[in-house]
Amino acid sequence: MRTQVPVAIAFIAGVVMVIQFFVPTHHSMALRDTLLAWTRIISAFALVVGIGSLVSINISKLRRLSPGWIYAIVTLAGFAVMAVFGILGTKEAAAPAWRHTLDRCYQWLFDNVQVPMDATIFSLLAFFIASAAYRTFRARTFEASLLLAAALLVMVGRVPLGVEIGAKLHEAIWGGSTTAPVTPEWLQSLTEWVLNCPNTAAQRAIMFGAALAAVAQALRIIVGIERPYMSGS
Amino acid sequence: MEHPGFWHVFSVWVAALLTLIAYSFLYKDNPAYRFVEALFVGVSAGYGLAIVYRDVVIPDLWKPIHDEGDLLRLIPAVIGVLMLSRFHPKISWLSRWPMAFTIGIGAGMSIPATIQANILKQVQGTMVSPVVLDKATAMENAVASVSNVVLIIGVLSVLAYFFFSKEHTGGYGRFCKLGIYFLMFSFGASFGYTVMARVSLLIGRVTFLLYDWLHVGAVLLR
Repeated sequence: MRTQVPVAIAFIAGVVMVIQFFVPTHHSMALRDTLLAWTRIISAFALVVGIGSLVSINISKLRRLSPGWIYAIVTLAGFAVMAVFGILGTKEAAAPAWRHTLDRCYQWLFDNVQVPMDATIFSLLAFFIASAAYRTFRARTFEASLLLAAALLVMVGRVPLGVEIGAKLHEAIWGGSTTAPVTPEWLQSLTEWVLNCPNTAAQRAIMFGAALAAVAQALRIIVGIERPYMSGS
Repeated sequence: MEHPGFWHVFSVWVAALLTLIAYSFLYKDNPAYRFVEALFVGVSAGYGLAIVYRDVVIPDLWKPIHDEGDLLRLIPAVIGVLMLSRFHPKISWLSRWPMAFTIGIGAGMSIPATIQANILKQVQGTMVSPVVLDKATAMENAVASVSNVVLIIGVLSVLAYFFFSKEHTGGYGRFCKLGIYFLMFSFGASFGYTVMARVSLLIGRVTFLLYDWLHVGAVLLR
């Protein structure tokens, strides 16, 4: 019951989805849509488990008054306010006015708290990436030099300053001649070529390997050799 | 000039202060930053829950059952509730059922989709002619031919590098080394992209602070 049933569920669900792909009839498509809707509903409960874990960790921090308990209050308050406004608020015309007000509060929190913090915290990484790049990109080997060259080319070739530098170099060398072998936008073109050719080649080869591994892993899950759903319970 | 309303000014100040407090981490870790970090975690979790409620629970569960009488939707709801058994150690094994269902569906869906999109389509994209003659000029033909040759050699050499059943020595070893060069080039390009994405976020925040909050952007551009 504890081990066979989950294995059987994973096997049946996986096989049904594979067969559905090769038998795209009206009924099988309807079955696929139903199963996908079911999966969305079940996944919603997985989010509840995750949030339950976050809340219980913060509540236990608060109960023990462990270091940083004050921040647990901030997390719980932020969560409660956003969740209540988001769940009770609505834009539906038939809903009472107080629910419209809650929806406006939810939207305000999203625009002026969630979005600025999200962008700022992710933009902090720009500074850490810069210091990491300094350590990584010291061109000690030919491979490191290639890494540096590609990164610089992508960074410089796709911003207005880089385009301007390319045009100035073109003018300095060929003096605006129409018979020049390259156009003033040569740096942009070179960047595009680097991204579309050598970069695509390497990414494609990596993708092959990852795709084959993903298919093998999915097969192992379906036949029950791999059982990730057994862990943690 | 029309003056902005109180709520607009208040909103800009809230966003600006949160931005500045978050950037204070660049100097060193401090209580104000930790406050913003904790607030961000809480608000993001609440936002995630609200989004799931609005985009999944209402349209996929509540409306089909309440408005259309589709009682079959109660089945995934019951299976989903089993997920909550993880909070009770004695019955936590029940959470394996919804997990197995979700993972099984994902695995079954991914097999044909991955083969089609990530293998067959990519093989098709790599099977290009090394000699191109149908462009307008000889220069364009040459560039397209070189690009195709680079693409073919790049894919094959990187695949050869990842094939560890044959020792990387001799001519084969040199071909694998070429694969490493392609990989390094690609990693560099990916790194460049990542840096640009982060820097563009930084530019966005600085623009907000200068234009929307301090109103000095126009002065600086003069």
